[in-house]
Amino acid sequence: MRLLALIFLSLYISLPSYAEVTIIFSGEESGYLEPCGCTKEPLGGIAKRHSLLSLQGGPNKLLPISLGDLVGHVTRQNEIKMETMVESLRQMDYILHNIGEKDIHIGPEVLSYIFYSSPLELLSSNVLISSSYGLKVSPFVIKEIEEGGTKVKIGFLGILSPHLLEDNHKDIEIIPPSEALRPLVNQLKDRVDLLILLSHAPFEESLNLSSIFPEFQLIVSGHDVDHPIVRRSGNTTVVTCGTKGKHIGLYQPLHKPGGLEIFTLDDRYHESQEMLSLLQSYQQRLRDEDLLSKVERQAPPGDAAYAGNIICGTCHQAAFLHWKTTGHATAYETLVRVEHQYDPECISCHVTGLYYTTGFESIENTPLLKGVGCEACHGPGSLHKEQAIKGLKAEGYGKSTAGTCQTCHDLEHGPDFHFEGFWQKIIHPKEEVKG
Amino acid sequence: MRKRTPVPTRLIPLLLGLAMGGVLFGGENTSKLPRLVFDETQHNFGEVYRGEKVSHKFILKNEGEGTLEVQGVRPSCGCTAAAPSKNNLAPGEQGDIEVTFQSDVFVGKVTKTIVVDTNDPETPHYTLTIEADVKEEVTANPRRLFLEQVRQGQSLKTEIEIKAVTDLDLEVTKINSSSPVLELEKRQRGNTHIIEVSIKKDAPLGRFGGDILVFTNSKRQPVLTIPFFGEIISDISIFPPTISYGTISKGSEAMRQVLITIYQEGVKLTRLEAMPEFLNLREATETGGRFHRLEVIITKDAPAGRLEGSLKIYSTSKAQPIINVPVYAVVK
Repeated sequence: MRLLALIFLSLYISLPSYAEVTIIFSGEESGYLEPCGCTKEPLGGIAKRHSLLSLQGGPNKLLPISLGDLVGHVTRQNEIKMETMVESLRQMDYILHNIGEKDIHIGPEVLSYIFYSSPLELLSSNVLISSSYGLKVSPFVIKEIEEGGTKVKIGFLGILSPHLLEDNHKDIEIIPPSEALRPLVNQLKDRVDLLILLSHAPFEESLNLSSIFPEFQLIVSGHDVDHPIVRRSGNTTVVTCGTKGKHIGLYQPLHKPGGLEIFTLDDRYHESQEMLSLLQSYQQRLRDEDLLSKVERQAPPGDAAYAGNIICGTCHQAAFLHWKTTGHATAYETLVRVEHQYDPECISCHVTGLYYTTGFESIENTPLLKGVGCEACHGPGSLHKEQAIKGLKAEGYGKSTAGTCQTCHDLEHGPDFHFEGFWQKIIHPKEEVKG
Repeated sequence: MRKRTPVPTRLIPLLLGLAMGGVLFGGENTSKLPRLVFDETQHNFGEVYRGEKVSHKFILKNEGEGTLEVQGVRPSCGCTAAAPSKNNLAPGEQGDIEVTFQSDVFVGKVTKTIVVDTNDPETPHYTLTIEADVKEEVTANPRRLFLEQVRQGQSLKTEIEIKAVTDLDLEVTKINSSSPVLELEKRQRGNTHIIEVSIKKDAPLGRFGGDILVFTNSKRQPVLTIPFFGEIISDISIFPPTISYGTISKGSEAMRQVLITIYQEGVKLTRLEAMPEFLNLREATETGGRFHRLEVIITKDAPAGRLEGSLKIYSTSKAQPIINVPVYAVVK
């Protein structure tokens, strides 16, 4: 009987259930092209997302839309990342991108460069960017789709909360959302069958907009909310999928009842080969542009310089030999195996002192600083070494806390991390105090 | 290898029905089941100063008849730690999930969740919510610095104000910048500390960015990070500074665009050169004004292997008569 039930069940699941108009969305991308390989159960990534989209109906029925904040920071790496992200969205047939504050941070000239030849439309109903950049931003986008023999018109509007861009940009003006939306909603409400708002704003602000504008059937919200939330506000569904594309929302406006589902992009989805190729090409670009050498570096803490493990091991032999047996010692090789050793964002947790002058530069220039060495936890040791040579005590040097570990072992890169347990994996023999 | 297609949630009632049918027909014993009950599922920490760590215990009880197994706790954010007091609760037994929220990277209202996975068949994934309103003891104004375009050789000065909003007698002990482009000086005006930021006259051309670190005597916020961005320009600016294609397939064409911005009135582009020979140039549609767009194309006949080339842009600019843009690709 169970077998019969399973056969019936598998037949039922294989039926194409997404043959109708489907709006696809996630939260802000924040430059999350792929999950870090350190995580046991990685979520999200463009390769899995492509796979999810491929499982849905034909492309003429899908309307993937992007909420804003393609990248998280302003660096050359993030410029390349933004290009890669936009290329991935193009390959996944995304139709538009709503401008977020981080898209503005990276600079209108970069946006102009990237979106000039992209089929993705830039959308914002309340962000005005100086025309001198040659950047076309649409205040609304209308898409027409045929559904069951009739044509359905969907109107998309998009806003950015002015609170998220407190800085003065001489070429950018942000109009309060309700002021910008009112004339557009009035203009569109009789021209389209349904109105959708992409609200790059805190969730409460998006809820507030749903009260002011009940004309919206769906408000896709998102800013710094890292988990999915769905609320019903009158006739409007307000939804956020969380950040970094880990969860993907599918909305079928013509489906009764409900029509909204949120999928978590976990390892049930395979990684599409097209996106894996794009990611490989991204890594090659980081290598070709030698971005490791262009990392911005601060003066090391305590004004000391990094010395390297072998120098530490001269006196601390037992600790050094123990360290060599730990995962920290082979952290660089772990990254080489997955061909991410030229990625500054990855390598910072696989070498010693990347973001500091005298820290890791490259495997050729600073081979003694590969891996998570002594000074990654204890701090740069040149002054300590000099004191030791003079026979002085190491006052205040070397103290490390759980916070030091969590710089790398955060939830994104080590969700199972707990200090007490992990500390046991690296704790080294006590050194005899000399001098 | 293709993996299993996730089941749309709207099918779940059907699946549950079928599964239950299977269970009934299979004759399994379902009588002793655990049941998870929380006293509360939401906690508001109220106002928290940035940098503070706050904790709360969510009390849970097993009101079922089978042993309740807490199989996992999954916070939504690296800022939140959660740990159960025990992993197995006998019927009637009580325990807690201690949730700790670390506020260093937030300002304003914050909501985070923790999913508790158990063997309670009715609610296998229970969501707890914590909220906080994160205040700053030390504030920076502006929070980030957009220095926009600055002409090479010109000096630009701007200020960042650092203030304590509590009765802390604020001291700024050290300031650092990650970029050699900036010079920083500190002074005090009443209770406000001023960081004077200036761009060095010999700063190299190109986009720059990084963080200014302000070290204070605040225990809650010993370091403030102020990101900055800008670009040092001359007569002409080129974006991107390097043309990299990544990996491209042999026999296929690949294109990258170059955006040339002319800042100095009267400056004209006179010649464009690309090498080696399988790099072609095509001027894109003129967008008007100071922008010129150029398409740099690797042709189909590019041989396999690593390609290193260059794009040379000649102009009437005295400061930048020839601009060299490196080109890289790997053809496979």
